[in-house]
Amino acid sequence: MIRSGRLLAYFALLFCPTLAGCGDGDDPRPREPPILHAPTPLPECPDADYRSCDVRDPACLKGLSQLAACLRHSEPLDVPTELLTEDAYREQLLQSRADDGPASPHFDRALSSFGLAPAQRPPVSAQIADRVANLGGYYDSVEKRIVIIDHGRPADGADTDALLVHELVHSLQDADYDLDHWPDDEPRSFDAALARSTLVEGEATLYEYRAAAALFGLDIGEVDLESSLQHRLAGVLEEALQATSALSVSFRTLPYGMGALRAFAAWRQGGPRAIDALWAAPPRTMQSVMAELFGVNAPQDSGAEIAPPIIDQLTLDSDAVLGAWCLYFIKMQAGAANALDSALSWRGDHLWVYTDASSSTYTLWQLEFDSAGAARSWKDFFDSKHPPTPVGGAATFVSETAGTRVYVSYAYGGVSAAAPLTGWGTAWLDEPH
Amino acid sequence: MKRFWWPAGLGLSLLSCAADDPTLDERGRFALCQGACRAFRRCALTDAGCELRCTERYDRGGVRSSALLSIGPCLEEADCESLDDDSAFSACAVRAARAEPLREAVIDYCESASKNLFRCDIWWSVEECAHSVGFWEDEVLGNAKSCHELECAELRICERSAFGNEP
Repeated sequence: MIRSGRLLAYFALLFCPTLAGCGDGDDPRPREPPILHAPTPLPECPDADYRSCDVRDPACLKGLSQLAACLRHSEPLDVPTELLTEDAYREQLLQSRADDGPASPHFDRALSSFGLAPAQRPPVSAQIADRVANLGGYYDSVEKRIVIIDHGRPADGADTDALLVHELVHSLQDADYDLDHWPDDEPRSFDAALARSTLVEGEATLYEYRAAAALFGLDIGEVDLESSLQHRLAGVLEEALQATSALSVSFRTLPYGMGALRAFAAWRQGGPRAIDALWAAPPRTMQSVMAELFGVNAPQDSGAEIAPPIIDQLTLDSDAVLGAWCLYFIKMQAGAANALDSALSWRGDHLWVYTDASSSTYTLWQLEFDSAGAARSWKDFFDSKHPPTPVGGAATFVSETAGTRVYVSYAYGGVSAAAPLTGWGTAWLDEPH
Repeated sequence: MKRFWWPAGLGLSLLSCAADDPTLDERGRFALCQGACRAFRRCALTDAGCELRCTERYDRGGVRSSALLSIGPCLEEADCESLDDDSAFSACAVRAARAEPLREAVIDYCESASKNLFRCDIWWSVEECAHSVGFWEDEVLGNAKSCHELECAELRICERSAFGNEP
């Protein structure tokens, strides 16, 4: 959402007008001064306290906890909440990253081949600055506490109260589902993690917005909540597509916009219990989230399992399932037509990144589509963006199709055609699919 | 994160309005000009002719004269840096807005603004609005309220125009 916190920063008194002014109109002092109307309770939580309050006040925290629990049909929890300054949060992040070793350059280099990230990750200081600037608050599922970042907004503002409701919903989700291990302890790909995040953040965002309407002094019955959530979606899509990295910005944008609309659709059918049904069958692919949201293509609950190629000459550095969102990102960045249709023809993918003794980078991305035509179209797209001849000796590129499967590979480090890539090229073409 | 910027340029638009209390208008203009000019002079940003030029030509552009009575003294106390970067005007306007009595026109505008901005995913509670816009004349608030029937992109442009800012 766009917060109003700096509305008055743009006021200016101008001292160079040339036109005549005019007098005041009537300015009677009323015998009984008007007052702001009392908040209109949400119909589902008529007994909650909707007066804005200071989130540092235990009584306020208790009241908002009860509101969050009521919205979700849960039992309220007692969750420690802290207001942290930006500087304190920055210091916390720096300390948590202090023991991190240098990131492997190969994965970023591979992503940059497809326009999914810059070739080099921004420095840690820039990553931390971005996080500090853009995070409103978070629920710590390990320490079971909530942190609200103090960006200069009043601690007793209605929007801060609504943000706290969002985080309190996370604490309730954690109590029900154990977020750190939900829905299972299987390793999670980027695509699956992002998809599941749409449910976690979507539910919390929906209740945040409903709470906000009442906290703002509005009658929820007169509020066009769907319009609000649609604009939120438009905003997060714009922000995510303008980012230089498809991965890093995705988690702090898409789940809120996409997830909230999905949660709202379920909620309208059956209230909180309908959202429980989403938790019982969480989305595992962004293709399913986007197909359902935009009404394009058929939602796919899972992607095709793609066996890793047998590569003896190289060392595996990293791998990922990137999913339909990344395909959409690539097409939108390229200004390609029919980006959504094209992206949602996804039926599976897997990216492998390798290196060798000379620290060259090799990447193979296998993608499965719903038709041979879609596969050819994607191969043509990759070819158009990345010619299959070495560019200044910096990278070699190969693409192939086999039915509904596309194979795209890059090699960096001045590797010639006689290098392992050629043998690799033959090897993965022989893999069954 | 995008910020919703609030249109509030003072002094460029020509408004026709009743002149029931010209003395209040004069006192407001004088207070503003005196306070601002004294501050500008302290900061070596203007000369001795400031007050004359200001009082002769200043158009309050829809700002209540009662608000100017408090903005002027507030500006007089502002530091030079905040005067130079215009932040003093915002700060003094905030104080003046909060000092203005709550009026039906303010409540009407703010209930409409809060609801319609919410549908555009712009968050502004009724209470915060009421604390922020009290220094505008009722007519200005009424004009801005008429923008709330528009689609979101047009709404923001319309409001900016109603408050005297170029879109």
